[in-house]
Order: sequence, then C-alpha cells, then structure tokens
Amino acid sequence: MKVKFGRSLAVAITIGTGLLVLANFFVRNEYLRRVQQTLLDWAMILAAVALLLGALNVIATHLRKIRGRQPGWVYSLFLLAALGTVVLLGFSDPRGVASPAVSWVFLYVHVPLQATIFALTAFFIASAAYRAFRVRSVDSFIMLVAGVIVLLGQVPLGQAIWDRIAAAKDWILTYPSTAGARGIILGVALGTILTGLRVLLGIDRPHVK
Amino acid sequence: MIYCPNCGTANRDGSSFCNQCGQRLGGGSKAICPFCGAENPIENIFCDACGAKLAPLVTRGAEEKEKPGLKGLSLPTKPTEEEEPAPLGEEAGLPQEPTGAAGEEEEIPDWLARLRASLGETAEPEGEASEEMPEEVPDWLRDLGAPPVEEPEEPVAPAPEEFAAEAAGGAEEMPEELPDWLRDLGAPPVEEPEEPVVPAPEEFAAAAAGGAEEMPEEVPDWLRDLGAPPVEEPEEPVAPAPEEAPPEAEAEEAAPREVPAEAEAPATGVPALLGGEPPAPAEEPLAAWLQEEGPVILELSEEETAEEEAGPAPASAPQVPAWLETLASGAAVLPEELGPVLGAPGKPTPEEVGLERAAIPSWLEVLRPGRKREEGEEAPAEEPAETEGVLEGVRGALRLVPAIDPGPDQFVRAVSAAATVTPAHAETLTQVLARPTAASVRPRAVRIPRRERGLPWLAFLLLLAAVLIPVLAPGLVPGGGQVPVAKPAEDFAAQIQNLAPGARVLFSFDYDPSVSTELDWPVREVLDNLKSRGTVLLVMSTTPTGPGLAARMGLGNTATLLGYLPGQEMGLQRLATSFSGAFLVDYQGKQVDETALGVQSLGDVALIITAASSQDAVRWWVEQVGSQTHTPICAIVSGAIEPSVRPYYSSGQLAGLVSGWVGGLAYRRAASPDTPMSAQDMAAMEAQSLGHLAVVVLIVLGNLAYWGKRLFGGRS
Repeated sequence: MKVKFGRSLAVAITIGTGLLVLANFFVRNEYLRRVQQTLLDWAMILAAVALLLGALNVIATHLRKIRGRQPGWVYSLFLLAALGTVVLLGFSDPRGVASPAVSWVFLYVHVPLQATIFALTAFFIASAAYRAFRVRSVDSFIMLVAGVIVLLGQVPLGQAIWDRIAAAKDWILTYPSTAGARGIILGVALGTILTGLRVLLGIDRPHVK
Repeated sequence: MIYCPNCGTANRDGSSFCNQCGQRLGGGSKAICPFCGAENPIENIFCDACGAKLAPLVTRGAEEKEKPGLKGLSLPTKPTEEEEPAPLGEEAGLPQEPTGAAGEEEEIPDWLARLRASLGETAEPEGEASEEMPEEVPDWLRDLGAPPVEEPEEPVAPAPEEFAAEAAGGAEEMPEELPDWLRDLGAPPVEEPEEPVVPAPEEFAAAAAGGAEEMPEEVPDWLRDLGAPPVEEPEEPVAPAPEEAPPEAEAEEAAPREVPAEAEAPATGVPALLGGEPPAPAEEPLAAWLQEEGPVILELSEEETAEEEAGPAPASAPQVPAWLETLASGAAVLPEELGPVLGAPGKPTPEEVGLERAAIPSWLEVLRPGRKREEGEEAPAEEPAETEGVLEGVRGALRLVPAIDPGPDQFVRAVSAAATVTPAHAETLTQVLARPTAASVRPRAVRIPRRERGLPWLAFLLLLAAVLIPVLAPGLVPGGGQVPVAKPAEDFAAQIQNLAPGARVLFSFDYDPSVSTELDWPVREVLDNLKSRGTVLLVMSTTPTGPGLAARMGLGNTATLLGYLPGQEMGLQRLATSFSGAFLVDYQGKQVDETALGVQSLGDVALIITAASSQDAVRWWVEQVGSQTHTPICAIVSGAIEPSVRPYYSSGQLAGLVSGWVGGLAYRRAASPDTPMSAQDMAAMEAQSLGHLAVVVLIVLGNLAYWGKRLFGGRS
C-alpha cells in the first residue's frame, strides 16, 4: 500500500511540476515565473549532482577493473591517477578550475589529445570514402554527386575547378538538405510533444519504475 | 442445408443424394482408431490418442453419425459390421443390376467359375453348412457374407473414394500387388482408370447373395482380379466357360436409378448389392452353372430363407452364406490364386507360388496404418531420432505427411505430391539439421583482400600530402587565396556590424576541445570583431569544458566569463526566465553582479552567439531561448553539423551562421574586406582544399575499382 501511495505521489508531483512549467509559456504571471524559476534551479542543481555521480561511477568502475586485474586495468590505473591529480590541483587552489595548474593541464594535455583523436577520424573517413561510397544504384549516384559538390564547394579549390560550385553547394544545403533535416527536426518535435503529454497525463511513468 | 461432401453443393434438408453429383448425403461418421479404439473426427489422419494413422478408417454406425466434415473432405473408410455396404454401382454411379432373375443368362466370371469348380468337388450338400464364421475368414469377408439390412439408404463411409479418386487421376500409379492392410480392406486399387471403382466387398456380397447373379460389365477388372489375382492364368482351367450374359442395354434398363427405401431392402442376408432389388426367391431357377454343378454353395440356407420370409434380419446377427462356411470348414478347396489372397491356412504365399511382391507405391505407404509396437521395441528405422540441434532425441517430430486433411481428392494429390518431393526435402532438412549451431561456429576474422591491403596507406599518404604540400610549397594549390562566398557568414557579420558600442553580447562556448582546431579560429575572429566594436561580452558555456576553452581566448577586461551553466536546455530555460540568479559566481569565483553587468534578463542582451559542435546545443538555444526572447541568435558551428543546423538559419531562427574555417574566412571578408589573408590562413585553406580533394579522389578510385571488378569479371 505504501508502494502504491508513493508511486501515486511521485506521479502527482511529476504532473504538477510539468504543468506549472508549461503554464509559464502561455501565462505571464509573476508567481508562476518564480515557481518555474525555483523548479529550474533545482533541476540545474540535480544536473550538477548528476555530473558528480557520474564521476563517482567512473571511479567505482575502474577501481573494480583494477581490483579484478581485468584486461586493460593499467589504463584504468592511469585514468584514476589523472583524475585524482586534477582534482587535487583544483582543490589545492582557491580559484578552482581557473587555477593555473588546472588550466595548464587542460590546455596542454586535454585539448591537444582530444583534438588529435578527433583528427584521426579524417583517415577513417578517407578509407570509408573508398570502400563505402560506391555507385550501386541511381540513388547512390545522386548522393555521390551531391557529396562531391558539397566537399569541393567548401574549399577554394572547388571554385578554381568550377566557379559556380559554391552556389551549387549552397543550393544543396538550402533546399534538399534543409528539407530532409527539417523533416527530422519536426519528427523529433512531434515525438517530444507526445512524450511530454504522456508523462503529463501519467500514461508513461519512467521515473517511478 | 446439407452440403455434399463430394462436390460441396448445397442440398435441401432431408436430401439423400446430392442433386449435383449424386453423392449420398448425410453420411458423416467418426473414425475409430484401429488400435486404441478412440474416436476421432473424420478429418483426422492420425489418432488423437495414440497417434496411429487412421487411414483406412473404420466408421461408426448410423446412430453415432455426425454431420459431414468440411466441404469436400472425407477419408477412406472401411465399412463396419453394422454398416451396410453401398450397393454396387451406387458409389461409382453405375447402373444397378437386377438381382436373381437374370441369372440364367449371366456371364460367369472366370474366378467364380474356378471357385465353383473347386467347391463343386468337395462342397457339402445344401443346408449343411455351418453358420459359424471361421476364424480364418477375413473380416471383410464376414461383412460380405452378412451385410446388414437395416437402413440401406445410409451412406457408406467412402472407403473406396480415395481409390476412385486415384483411379480418376491416373491408374498408372496403382500397385500391382496389394499390401496386407489393403487386403483386409478388401478394396484394392483398380488398374483401369476410366472405370469407376466400387468397393470390393460389395461385389463379393453380390456374388454371395445372388448366387446366380451375373458379374456386371462395368465391374472393373480389379474386382475380377481380386477373385482371381492378377497372376498368370492357371495352366489347367478348372471351370467351364461361363455362359453369355444378357445384353448390357437390357441390364441398364432394368437397373433402378434410386436406392429403394428401407422397406424395399432385402429381408435376408442377401446383400442389397444390386440396388435394393428384391432378392431372388429361393425357388427361382438357379443359374445354369449352378444347376450343373450340383452343390449350391452360394445359395441361401434354409434358415436364411426362413428369415427372409419373416422379415429383415437384425443387424446383430450377421448371416454367413453357405459358401463361406464351406470355405471355413475346409471342405472346399480354394483356387490356387485365391489361396494367397485370402490367406487360407496351409496355402502357399504369393512368393511361394511364384508371384513377385510388387513395391508398394509411396502414396499407399503413407496410408498404411501404424502397427502396435511391442514393449521395448524400438521405433521404426524410418523415424530416426534427431542427433543434434533443438530436436535432439525427438523422433518423428517433423513428419512430412500433411497434418491437415484437405479432403479426399486433395488428400490423395497432396500425398502423391509429397511422395515425390519429400526425399529432396528430407535430404535438405537433414543437411540443415546437420549443420553446426551458431554457437559452435567461431566467427571469422574479417580479412581485407590483398589488393585492398594498401588502401589505408594510400589514404594516409594522400592526407599527409594534403597537409605538407601547403606548408612546403605555399601557393601551389590553385585558388588557394580565394574565399568562397557564404551568405550566412555575411549575415553574421551584418549582425555584429549593427551592434552599438557597449552593447551586451552573450557568447556561449558550447563546443568540445575535439573541434577546437576548427572552431577556435572563427571564434577568435568573431571575438576580435566584437571587441573592436566596443561591446560588453558575457561569456558562458553549456559544456563543462567550454569555460576552459574561453579562458584561453584572451577575452580582455571588457568580458566576463560567467562559467558553466549546468542543466543543458533546462539551464537555458532558466537563463531565459531570468538572468538573475543563473550565475552566482563567475569562472574566477567572484560573485556575479547582474546590476554591474547591466543585464537582468536576456532582453537586455543585444546578440546571442553560440559556438557549438553539436546540433543539440544550437537547438537548445533556438527552442529554449529564442522562443522566449526576441534577441537574435547567431551560431558558429563545425562544418560537420552545418547541414543539420542550416534549417534554423533558413527559417530565420538563426540570424547568422559561420561554418568552420571556411566560414570564418568568409566572415572576415564580409566584416573586414580590407584585411588581407595571412600566409597562415592561406596555408590552412590550401591544406583543407587538398584534404577535400584527396577524399574525392579516393571516392573516385573506389568506384573505379568496384566497376572494374563488375565489368571485367572480378569479384564484386
């Protein structure tokens, strides 16, 4: 019985909160605005706590990996060591993440490494372009032509090859590509509305499962 | 309405025959399992209780009859003791012969002649035959000898229908020799397809009852052969040639078309084979051959004659004709051909008399009733247990006989068709089941074809050349100094150009360090332009790493780095609701004074700029902030997400858009037309041009290789 009451209470809170926030979009009321602001502040705090919980989960997962000597446990050891180092550097300075030590780690370790990893995707894209971009049908041929135009239209070399390639690229991005992307966006929006209504009406209760 | 089981025609209630095809109606029955005795629906092929095959079926009496099964659905059955065999010719649509009277001029078939001759030598005098049916006499012969007389109009279970259907479809498949179970059934298949098939028992019953009755012309040869099996003729004929039969036309004229009513049925053990004609009186003259031979083995006994005069005999007291009793007593000597067929004791088997046992067709084999297994007996070899797979240890789980009876004709056709395709199917099924299961198959490592093993190196070399050539040889790439025209970037620059000095601009760093090399340059270009315009910058981020990226940009004294705003779209909604309280401290840890900043809400901000590496970040700004305020929003995005962000620009929700490095150059050309392109910028543009060209070359090479393989015989 307690369980049922608790679930009902959670559903009631969810519906009430959602309706209050939603009402602020349609009704200009100072009281509603303050309530919505308070609720959003709570949500931001919870989101920040979620980051902390995520960090704790990462620590627990890699500790378990190290304890069990699972494959790749050495990398987990390095990860925890780096994490502990940055945390210590941050807490050791009153400026926190703005401290020179943390900034140095961020600028000269984190950013270059992440950019390098991302740059490697260029090689995979080049290899995939050879293997996967095959003309097997009319549709694939059209897509191939559009892809080549957009690729060369992005750079000055394309204009040197064909002076109207930039205009062709803009036309592709403005009309065919926008039409497809807009369809996806509208579909996502409709799905979001439907999901919101289901939660507000208590049909879906993912938060009480 | 009564639906004809043969043709499906709807007949009015009470109809005895189908008005379309003449099929006897109302003859539904139940199937009795020959082994366990369980009752089964007539549609069943296998017994519900024990799984034995029910073909041929045994029908129940009329008192337990049910409505006919599905339209056109019936199975071969065998008449029971309580059931009267259908009159000759009625099932097959033959004209029915009158009984008795015409016997004098009948043509005696050979087998009857031989039987008469053999019996004439040893038969006992008339009336001395015992009424007890010998054990050696098969059941179907008992039925022949004592056909029930009640309810003559009741249809007989269509036991021979399947044979009739088979005969109609093609008699070439009929076996030359009958299997044992078909002998019991007494209805061997015919060999002449054009002639309708009739139940064998009826023919024998006719012979037994009429005595002097002729064998009709329409009777197929197999019935004659049943009396005299289709073997070579005996070397020494034992009977004289039969006399001439009456003309067929006369017989047809005398044959009634309708089955007589019950009152007209024969009153004695004489079967109503000949269409219910009154049995020949005992005092009528016998056939000539019977008169000549003396012992009337097929004539009624005295008791039977008395019963005939008294009225119909009860069904429970089957009458055995004298000639069968003679056979049973051993006094009569069967012809050599009948010995193996009837299974008389002491008689040679077909093999012993030189008959070769023909192979039973597969369509008959599937109809063979199952045999009861003894205790401890293993399953037959034709149903081996599965040795592996999900059916391991299971026998006969995948029967190839159709589980649903589609009807008599369809059944025979289906079985015949199955007999032809099942070997191939069984072989395929065996191969499938013999394959190793998925769990036991070890996945193969993906191997790159030898000719494509150098492909990664080719891609790496092309990209390396694209990076190094602009550095080693600047200005080598044609068009390197040109900057493509981009209207979104021009609109972006126009928005900044319209800002008044001191205007508040909210700049959000919403990208990751991974794309910093692509976005840092246009971001820095925009920031420099904003600072030159004397605007007040409020810098924030919706990603945790954004403030760090912003901090290295050299924002200057006029900018305030507010730091990270958690909550993603919730945080932006909070920011749109009220700027106050969204940031308590800035990136340096100082308290944020909104009054000092001059911003109480986003309405006080002249322009919002988001530098994003994901479509979601742009969407959050457009949805959560752009819908709440009228502040224009511009975006600096990576080239990868430009197509997905472009709709927001096309709809006006984004006032300007800069995409990647090229967009940054376009922005600078629009914002500062007089600023020349530096050598570093030109090298970057040339490298990007060559990189894109390398990808295009790889695409073309891949397609050339693909089509080369397809056109010139290589593996695709």
